[in-house]
Amino acid sequence: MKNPIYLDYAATTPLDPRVRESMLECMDAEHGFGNPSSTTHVYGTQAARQIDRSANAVAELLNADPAEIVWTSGATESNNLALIGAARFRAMHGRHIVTTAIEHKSVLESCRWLETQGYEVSYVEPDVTGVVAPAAIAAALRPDTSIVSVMHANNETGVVQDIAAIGALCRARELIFHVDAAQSLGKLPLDVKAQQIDMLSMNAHKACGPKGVGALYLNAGRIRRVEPLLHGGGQQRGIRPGTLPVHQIVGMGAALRIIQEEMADEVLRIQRLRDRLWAGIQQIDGVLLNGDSSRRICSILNVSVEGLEGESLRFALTDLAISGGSACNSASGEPSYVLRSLGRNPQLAEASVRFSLGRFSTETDVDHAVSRFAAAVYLLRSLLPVASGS
Amino acid sequence: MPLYTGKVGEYFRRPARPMGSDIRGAAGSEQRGTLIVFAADLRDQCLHKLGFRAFACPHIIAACNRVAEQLDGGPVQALNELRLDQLQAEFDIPVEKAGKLLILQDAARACYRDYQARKQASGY
Repeated sequence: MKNPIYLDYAATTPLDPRVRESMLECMDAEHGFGNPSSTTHVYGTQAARQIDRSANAVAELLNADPAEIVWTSGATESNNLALIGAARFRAMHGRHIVTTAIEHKSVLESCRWLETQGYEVSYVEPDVTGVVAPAAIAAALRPDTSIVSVMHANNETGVVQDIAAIGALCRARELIFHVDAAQSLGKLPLDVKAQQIDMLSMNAHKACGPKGVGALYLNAGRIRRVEPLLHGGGQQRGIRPGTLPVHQIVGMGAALRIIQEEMADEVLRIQRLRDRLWAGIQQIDGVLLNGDSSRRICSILNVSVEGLEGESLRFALTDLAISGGSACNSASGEPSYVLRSLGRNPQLAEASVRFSLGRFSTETDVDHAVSRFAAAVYLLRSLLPVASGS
Repeated sequence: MPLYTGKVGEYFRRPARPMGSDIRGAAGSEQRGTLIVFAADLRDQCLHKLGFRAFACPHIIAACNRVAEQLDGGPVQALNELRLDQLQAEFDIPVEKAGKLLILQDAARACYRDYQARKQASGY
């Protein structure tokens, strides 16, 4: 059976062959298999140099300092470390956190856990287009607010938040501002200084890098420390101890260097594909775009179909590798909480499909997706009781 | 997302069957996630053009197609004697969807009750 066309880049991406090459080279016995903490011999120093090179790549992309990068296992860990670690360390500054109702579960669940530890969290709702107004964030702030956490681009709708405006209002109030950039890395310009970001979570696998590695940017001028989630070993100043996975970090560095060089062209190409996809799909009656039509990252198109049953819609599209809601929600079978927050009714939230495009997507893929989507909607509509007049 | 067998896929993807209009029965609701309508013509107390329309998950659409295929041409009483355990086994329908299968059964039985009501009213 032919593999389905991959249109689920927001869940994860294929490894770029250039990244793979750099990782394989690194795993070679001759090149940096050593423990980067073992700086008393050449194996360790060689590995440490490779780590430094990757930290430079991350820092360059963010306009940060390499010393401000903490390696993690991915954005989920970065979000946990940022929120829980900073909230614990800054408890004396206040135990109130402001976030949004449409964050990734790794932010929401970290907040829920903090609530069990005596913290209070305000969950700011977006408007019907998925945009969280900076004024709504400002309105949620309290004298005891310590941290504000807002995602850059939503993982289900792709809607982009005004990070710079929220960063400015946080800085003016001396609050710590955390951004989950898992979806925007490589799609949108990031500048932690200009956007006044204090903590930023990212991963490699959504940017054609390897799974199992990510990073947390910590603004050295504003955050002295976060409390670690793991203990022992002392690596990374004790913030995130554990022997560093050199080959994965090298892979992340390679992925980000490719982004640095190719992002401008790639974003335009992917955006053209997404627009082509939407141009085809919107010809079908009863298809609604979820989220703001212009403030979106280039890669995500999320639509709902009026009147159809969601599970059947996705099953009818099994020759497309797509997602209903986020990949993390697909397993739960629950209608997307993000789409519900945008005011979609349960049927529309359930009968939603997220197409996400990426580096290896083609026009042929997109045209096939349009035709398969139209056929699926036609089939299911022909089976509906309303269609038969019953 | 639950896994589906090849047979579910085969029956799910079949185009909508022609549907008669002599008798009709419905059960469920879109708001609750499953709505099924069976309808057929009658010829000599037998079902003709037994079809269905459904707002339902793939398992249930596949099962509806199977029921319509199996019972079409047969005695109308069969609508009242559906064996859900057979359908469940045939399509490997997960136990958490047992409630949806009951809606299918209710729709078939409603169709049979419609037959009985019309028979009584018009002396079929």
